[in-house]
Amino acid sequence: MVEKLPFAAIEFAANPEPRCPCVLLLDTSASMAGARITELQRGLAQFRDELQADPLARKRVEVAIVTFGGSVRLANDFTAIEHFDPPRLVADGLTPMGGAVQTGLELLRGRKQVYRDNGLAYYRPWMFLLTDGEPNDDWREGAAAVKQAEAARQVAFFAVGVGEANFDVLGQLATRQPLQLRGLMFREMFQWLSNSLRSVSQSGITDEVALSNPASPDGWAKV
Amino acid sequence: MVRAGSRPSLAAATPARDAWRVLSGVAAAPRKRPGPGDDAVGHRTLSTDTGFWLLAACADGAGSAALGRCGAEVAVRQALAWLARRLKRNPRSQLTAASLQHAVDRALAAEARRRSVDVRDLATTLVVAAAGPESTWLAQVGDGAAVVQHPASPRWHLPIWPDRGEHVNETQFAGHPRSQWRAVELPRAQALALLSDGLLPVAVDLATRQAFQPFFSGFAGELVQREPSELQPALESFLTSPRLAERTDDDVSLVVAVRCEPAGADVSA
Repeated sequence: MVEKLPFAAIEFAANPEPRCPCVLLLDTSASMAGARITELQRGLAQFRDELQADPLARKRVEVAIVTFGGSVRLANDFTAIEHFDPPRLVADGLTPMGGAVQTGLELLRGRKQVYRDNGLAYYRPWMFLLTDGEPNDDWREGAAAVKQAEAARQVAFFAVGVGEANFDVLGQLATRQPLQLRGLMFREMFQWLSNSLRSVSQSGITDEVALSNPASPDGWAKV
Repeated sequence: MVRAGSRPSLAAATPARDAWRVLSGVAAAPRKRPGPGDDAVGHRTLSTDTGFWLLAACADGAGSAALGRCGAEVAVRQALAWLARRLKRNPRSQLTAASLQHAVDRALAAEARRRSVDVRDLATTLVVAAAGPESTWLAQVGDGAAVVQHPASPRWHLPIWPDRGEHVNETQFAGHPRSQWRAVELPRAQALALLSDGLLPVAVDLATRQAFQPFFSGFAGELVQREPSELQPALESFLTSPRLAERTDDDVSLVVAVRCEPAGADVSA
């Protein structure tokens, strides 16, 4: 008979998994119509599949989607990846990017309060902005709010431009250097994002996660 | 002894009057294996004019620091040496968090100079315990935890909450001048445990901020009955078990100590 090792049955505390919130701010203005929106939609599906395949990330990563095309819309409120079903994106209207940024930050504030009320630990949230144009609303207030949130380490904000996006504005919105998508490599971008979130959601408390460089020669971005 | 990474060795505490049984181990996060990880633990005993002391330390080198594990080893070694020196000279000496911080930061700075690196490359969390005949002193920087059980009650207490920032992957470190160190003096301990943050999800009820009783009584209950040398393989299996890896993906380290003498409460209760 095999003797059971003394500590094989030590009881564990039943703590809920810490949450890793991520907000996607997606440009769905008219200029995104056609191949851009189709590839973006495919990229989102891949993002879901890759995170769902990871046993820890599927329980920890929560995603919310804000679209800005014509108006700012909460297309998907925070959902655990295991229950996430990407919304159908439709390209239409102008580009209220500033409003989307403010909505995203507001969403995060609310989500953190939910975490705190329920005694849930959480990672520093990520916000990921994707656009092929320039804002048609007042974006400076949004930019100031991002700077303030970044300085207080309340969010990690990434901006990605597609095609003829206004990188001057993106550079003022984000404290990190904005990235330029190579062609329509949305799927590669979302693969990078899911890998990064996987690393973050599995990092120990004392770990600073080293992310792979998306602007490497075979990466999805240029700077 | 100081133990770091995956180099297991054992110095069993000799059961003597007013002595301790100590069990300790370290394991790297599954994704870092076969690397050693960044945790280090150590303990030693000390005989003074007023009685017998157990000194223990547990450190978790910052994953973001280039030499996190080296920092963890230096911090553990220095903390134990500093406590021994102070208590040997005067067992009633007033220990303070500030003086431990000074000693550990100085050792980290010296190591950084020796290696020609920035002291931040050696950043590490640290939690220490000095358990004497009448009192127990605990000190901490960062998100490790110290848990104590006193003779009068079977309950395990978590006197200093692990110092986590707002977000899960942020804390404070030895080697950073502005880090906050905290210390607390408690009555005599019957048993104690030190652990790195990797074990928090299974050893602590994070919502109520209490030690999870069955976790600690499970270890201590075995240790009052068996020699540490007999239990060491079981601890190492535990720390590298798939069951634990399902709940934490971080380096894990644990020191558990129980008094050998029969007096006091039953720690396995």
